[in-house]
Order: sequence, then C-alpha cells, then structure tokens
Amino acid sequence: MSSIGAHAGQPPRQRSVAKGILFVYMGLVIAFIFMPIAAMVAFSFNDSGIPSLPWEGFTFRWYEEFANDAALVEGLQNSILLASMVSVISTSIALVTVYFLRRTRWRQKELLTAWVTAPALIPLLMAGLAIFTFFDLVGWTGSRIALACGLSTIGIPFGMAVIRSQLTGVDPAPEEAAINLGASHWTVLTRIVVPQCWSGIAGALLLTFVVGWDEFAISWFVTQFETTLPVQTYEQLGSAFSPKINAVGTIVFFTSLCLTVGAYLVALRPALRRAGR
Amino acid sequence: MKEFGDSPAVDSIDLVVEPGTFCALIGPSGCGKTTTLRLISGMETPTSGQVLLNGNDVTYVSPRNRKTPLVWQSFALFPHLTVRGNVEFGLRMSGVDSGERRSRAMKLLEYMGLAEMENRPVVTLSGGQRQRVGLARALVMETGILLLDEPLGSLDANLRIVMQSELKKLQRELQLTFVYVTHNQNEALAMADQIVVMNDGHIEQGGSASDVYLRPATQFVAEFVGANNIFGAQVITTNGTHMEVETEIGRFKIASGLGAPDGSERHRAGSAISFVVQASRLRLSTGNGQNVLRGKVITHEFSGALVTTFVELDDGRLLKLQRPEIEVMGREEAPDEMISLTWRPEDVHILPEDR
Amino acid sequence: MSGVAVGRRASTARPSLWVRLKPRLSVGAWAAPALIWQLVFAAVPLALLVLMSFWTLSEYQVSKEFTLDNYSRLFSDSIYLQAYLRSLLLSFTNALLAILISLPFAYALAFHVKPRRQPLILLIIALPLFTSYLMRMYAWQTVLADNGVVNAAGLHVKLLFTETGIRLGLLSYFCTIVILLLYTAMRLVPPELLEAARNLGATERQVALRVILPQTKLAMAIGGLFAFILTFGDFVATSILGGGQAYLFSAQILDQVRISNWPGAASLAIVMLITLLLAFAIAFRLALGKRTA
Repeated sequence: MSSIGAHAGQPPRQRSVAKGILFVYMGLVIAFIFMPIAAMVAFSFNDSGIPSLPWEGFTFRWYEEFANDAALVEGLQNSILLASMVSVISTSIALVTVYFLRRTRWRQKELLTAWVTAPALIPLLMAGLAIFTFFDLVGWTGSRIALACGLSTIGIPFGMAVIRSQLTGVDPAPEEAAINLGASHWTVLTRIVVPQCWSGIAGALLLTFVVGWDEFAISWFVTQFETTLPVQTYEQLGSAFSPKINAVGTIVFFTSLCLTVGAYLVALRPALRRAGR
Repeated sequence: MKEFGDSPAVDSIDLVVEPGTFCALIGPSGCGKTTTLRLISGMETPTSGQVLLNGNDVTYVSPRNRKTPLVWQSFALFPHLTVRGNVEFGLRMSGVDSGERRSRAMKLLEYMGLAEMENRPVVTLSGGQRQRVGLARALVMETGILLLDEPLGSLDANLRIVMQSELKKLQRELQLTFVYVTHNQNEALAMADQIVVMNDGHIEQGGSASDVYLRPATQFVAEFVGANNIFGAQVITTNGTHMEVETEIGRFKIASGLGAPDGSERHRAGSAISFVVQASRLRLSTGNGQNVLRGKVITHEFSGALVTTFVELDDGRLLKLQRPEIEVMGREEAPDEMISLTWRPEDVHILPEDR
Repeated sequence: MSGVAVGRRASTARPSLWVRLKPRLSVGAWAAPALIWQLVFAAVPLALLVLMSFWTLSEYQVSKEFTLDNYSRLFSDSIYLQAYLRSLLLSFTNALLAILISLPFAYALAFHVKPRRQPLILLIIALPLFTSYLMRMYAWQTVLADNGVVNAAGLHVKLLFTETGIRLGLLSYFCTIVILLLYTAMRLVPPELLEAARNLGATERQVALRVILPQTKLAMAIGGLFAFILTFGDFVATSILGGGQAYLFSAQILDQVRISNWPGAASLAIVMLITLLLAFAIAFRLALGKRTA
C-alpha cells in the first residue's frame, strides 16, 4: 500500500478538502445503496396506512397482518422448504465436484469450473423461461422439487466457491496417503476431506440456502400452485398496496442478511485468515 | 516410461530391486526419482512399460490395492486423528477388526517408543515423533515393502543421523525391501545396499555404494557423487598396466584400469578417455614427481571431519582437494597461496566410454 | 519378501483400453454429477429454448412446426424494434453511469481509506448483494412513490413508473459489483508506479488520472459488461418500477409469456442472448485491445 502521506506539490489544505469531498461522496453512494432498504425497514414499523412519511408511530401491526395472511405465510413455508432443498442439493454436488478438482491431474480442470459456473451468469429472465419450457415439455411443472433442481444450477457454483476457498490451505498429501493405505475415494472424502472442512460445508449450506430463499425470477416462471414468498409478494404487489409488504420485505432482508453474515463468519473469514498467514 | 505433457519425466528405465534390499534413488531435482516412486506406488500410471511387484504385473492396479505403503517427507499424517488412529488407518481399510488393529498398532508404537502418546492428536507432536508415527503407519501394514520419499528431509541434522541408523536397523531386522528416494547422497551412501543414480529421467548408474562412489560409470555420476576431479585426455602410450596420457594441462601417468569393467583393450594409443581422481586421493607435493599440478588456493570448505580446498589452475580449472580436518586445521593455506598437488597412478578411475 | 521391478514391457501384448482407462475413470466419475446436472437443468433447457423459437403458435397451442415467423415478426413489427433499441440505450447508458459512479468510490476506498478499515466497508456494500433483489426493488418503489420519501422530503419529482426510476433501482443493485471489480483492479496497481509518478512531480489528480485509471481498463470493461447484461436482462425492476409499460425489451418477453406465446417469447429471449454475447465480445475486445496497445 503506497504511502498516502507523501503527496508532492499540493498544499495541505487543498489535500484535506479533496479528501473530505471523497469521503462525503463515499457516504452518498453508500446511502444511495442502502436507503431503500432502510426506508423499507423503517416503514415496516410505521403505524400508517401508507408506507411513507409522516411517521405515525411505532407498531408491529404489519407483522401481525403478515402472520395472518394465509397466502403470504404459505409462501413463506414454501420458500423455506424450497431453499432447504436447494441448499442440500447444491452443497452435495458442490462437494463431490470440489473433491474431483482436488484429485484430478487434468490440466484443463478449470474448464469444469467454467461449465458449472456458466448457468449462474445467464440473465434470470432467460433462465426462468428456459427452465419453465423445459419442465413444461417434460411435464414436470408445479413441482417444488423441479424448481429446486432448476435453482441448484445457480447454487452449485456458490457452494463450490465456499468449499474450495476453505480447502485451499489444506494439504492434499494426507489424502494421497489414505489412498496409498487402501482407502477408496468415498472413504477419503468422508473420512479425510470432510472432517477438515466442516465449516466450509456449513457455509455452503447457508449461502446456497440464501440463493433459494431470495430467488424470484425462476420461481415466478416455474411455480403454478405452490408459490414461494417472493412470488407471492410480487403477485400481491400488483393488487392492494399494503404496508405489510414492508414487513415481509424486512423479514426477507434480515433473514438473508443473517445467513450471509453467518456464512461469512463460519467459512469465508477463517479461510481468508488462513490464506493470509 | 511416464510422460507428462511433452517431455518424459521418466524415460525408459529398467530398475530391479531384489527382495530384502535397501535401494536408494538419488539424483538432482527433476531427475525422475520421485516419479519412479509414484509409479511403483501407483499414484502415476506409466505411458508405456510395466511395473512388477513380486513378479506380478501391477501396472494398472489402482494404488489402493498395491500394498506399497509410503512414508512421506511431509509426514502426511491425518490431522484430525490421534496417533493410534493414524497408525490403525491402513489396517482399518483392509478390514482388520478393531481388537487386532489395536494390538498390532500398539505393538508397533511400543517399538517406536510412542506408546504413551497413543491418544494424542498428532498436531501436538514434534517433527521426529511425527516421522515415527508415519513410519509406524506404514510398517503396521506388514507388506514386506516400504517406499520412502525423502522421509528425513524435514528433520534437523542430528535427528536425521539418528534416524538413518534406526531405519537401516529396521530394514535389516524385518528383512524389508526399501525403495528410498533422497537428494542427500551421504544418506544414501550410508544406508543403501543398492544405489541408483538418476538424471533427467533415466538411470545413470546402479550399483553398490562403493561402485557408485569409487567407480562412477558416467561423467554425471562422477560429478554428482562425492568430490571428484575429472580430466579429459588422449592416450599417448600404453604398456598394459600403465598409460601415458596427454591432457590440456600436462602429461600424466595413470594406471590403465585393469579393474575397469571395460578392460584395457580399448585404451589404445590415440584414443580419447576421461579419468577421475577423487578429491581425497590428491596429496600435497613437493613439486617434483610424476603427476604434479600447481595451482592457487581459492578457499576452504569445512564440513565437519573433512576440509575441501578449491585450487585454481592456470587455465582457470578448479580442482578439489579433500583432507581430514586434523591435518589442516591451524595450518591451512592462505588464499592465493600456490601449492602443488599430486596423485599416484593407481588412484585413478577411468570412465567407461561413450557416456 | 517383495521384489520390485520397473521397466519396459516384457510381452508385446498391451492391456485392453478398459484396463488402462479405469484409473482415470474412477476419478472422473466424481465430476459426473456436476457435469450432468448442469447439462440437464441448464444446457438442455437453453437448447430447447433455441428450438422453441422456431416453433409456431396456433390457437394457443404450441406446435412443432418449423417457422421463422417469430423472428421475422421482430423486424416487421416496430414495437419490438423500438423496445430493443430502448433497452439497448438504457443498458449502455447504465453501464457508463455505473462506471462513472463507481470509479470515485473505488478510488477513495483503495487509496484513501485506512487499509484496516477497507474490508469492513467492502463487506458493508457487498451485503445487499445477497438480499432479495425483488425486495430491494420494492423498497425503491416505496422511496420513489408520489407520496414516498423523496417527494415527502421536498423534491417534487415524479420518479416512479419512469425510466429514471428503473435506472435508479438497477444502479443501486450493480454499482456494488462494479465497485468491487474496480477496487480489486486498483489494489493491484504496483505501489512503485505511484511512488515513481509522485517522485516525478505529479499531483494526486494526475496520479489518479494518468497512472491508476489506465490500469483499470479491464475492470471497467467487465463492470460495464455486467451492468449492461443486468440491465438488458432485467424484468423485475422494469415491472415494479416501470409500472408494466412495455417499452423495454424484457417487458416484451414478459408480455409474450403472459399470453402464453412461448415460441414468441423464446425467439425474443434468443435475440437477447445474442445481444449479450455480442456485448461480451465487444467488451473484451475493447479491454484487451487497449491493454496490448
């Protein structure tokens, strides 16, 4: 990191003014990014029929209404179920794929990584359309499992990234030693690799859960009957404009937040620390 | 042969290790010794050729079924298991039941002096202790063969010397076949029955320690093993037992190598040869006599019991002179001092041709 | 007692292909799940989409008759062309805006914030990425509405259901990504270059513009590409903040979906795909071309 202090040819006062402007700008950008979320959270507690100023008082009423709205609650349950399925599927496939990358001596092995990651880069609109028409043709629509399979195509690369980062500091020699002593690949995976990356697996489970939890676009296309929370919300947005949506939004936001921070603390930060050592 | 990409890592070698012998593979980095070991253990599959264990073709047998336990330089212990857990691992893979596993493991741990550590997690052990756990883990398999990849490389010097004699003792007592890779030639010379010098994917020479040390078969071996001075020369006259040869730095008289594997028929007048004089066979001379070279002392290298002195000749060539430390200490020559060196005609080894 | 031998094959008989491949297959099998999964649930659906774009819609039923009608309609019907161009313009300008907004931020973060605090701020701006995209767009609706925060705070502007509204929502989403990309590129600038420039008398402004900026060209291209793709392909912000007015390309696709014209939607989606691939190619040509110059 270059020495910030040594500025040539500028009077000190000009420097700190320029710096001040920069910091103010940073603050503005952060505000820009966070403002809507802050507004949503704030208004979810606002005792007013309109999700806006003026502030009419603190209340939990919108959360109550949310709890009483059967459609929304069902959407919540469906979301949780769906996200759990996506989490399990994505993490399992991610794990075995990471194992392959560790064992293989194929020089183009990162091609596999590219293949696995590509689906996550497609615009969701296209992905949703494609997956829906596929399921429609196969006759598998309206099924939660089908949606989970579709969403896992996005979850797998995330899971892989987390587990891989956790395993970068781990010496592969003991795995080879295990094979040398007679272990099968499955044994090496379950008895040697997994015990050394528990937190990575946990982090992957959390992160891929968030992927399924947040996902809207593909869900909207695929689900006909058992809609998830985001989809349900979208439907409701079109009709009555009720502040309880704020409550929903806040809940969704904080859930994602906690899970992501959880994944970071459990898996990514220890991996980064170890890499820095 | 084993190819990685375009260049062979190991190219047409023919290695045979007799049962119950200690075979060491030595050579510079990248010479293929570790690849050879991996070919034996099955971690690599040859591009062409075969690997035999006890006469059985195991070339395409998967590494887990080969029964060739490895001892690793980095120890490669399982970090989440205890000492006993590590040692038992291979037995567990073979399906040995837990009672027998435990007794076999404990027997070996006692032999290694690690019995009281059985339930300690391996991360708490010292380097030497970890090495012994790795050794125990391999020995407990009782397969009769052990592969060792620079096992003492991570230990400090004193421990290394102690472990050297322990390993040799172990190999002898249990009549095991050892295939031992190291880049430390002293280690190999001290322990091995058979030494194989490798270079650039092929075997330069294989033989006993004295074969390789006193009678190098190729220029590479002569340069790599021990401290040798190599001269290129042309034969002037020969009378059966002795020859007179002409080199760039003078004429010398050397024994015609009746003991050399090639015999002396080839060394006719006019033929070109290379001969080797060991650094320890050079002596200080008064300046007169048969084979004398005069040069300038550059520096002395102290390595415990020996002192290696580098002497620069007129044409810039460096000679190595090795003397016991007691002869030299306190009386070593000053840099730039001129000294004369000589050797006896018999103290010469002629390199076999066309290598 | 075991002897070992390694060497040339004694007999001329070479073992069968199966025997020789088995070791590699036993490892390769572990790649199969991911390979097959992405094939079945991503590659095949996409291929199907391409196929679908050539089918016809007759009496609200999709029939597998091959036709180019879907594509020819794009050129004959001006709605599509207009929507396409509008989307193109919006995406392109969004890409430029994203870069413009993110550059100063990334610069400030990389060079003027204490190193110890940098990861914290990175985390702060990265967090929203993992929260529901839909919810954030909805939150923007709250802010931008006629009785929303912006208007209540005194700025009487109609922002909801306008293109500007869509733009704001989208920018707030991918600015984070662009900031991260630019920041990484800036941190990779060798400090010696900066020292050398200062040593030769450059002011901070000159250092920023002439030394740091050129080094971030690749990151700018990638970030711009991201913004472009996300804008062009987005339909959430378009519908929530744009109010269902179908003047953007993605909205057109939605319309086709709503009337169950799957082949039509598919053909539009393929056009979108081609556009994005082109954008991809152009961005990389730009970035790498400048680098080697």
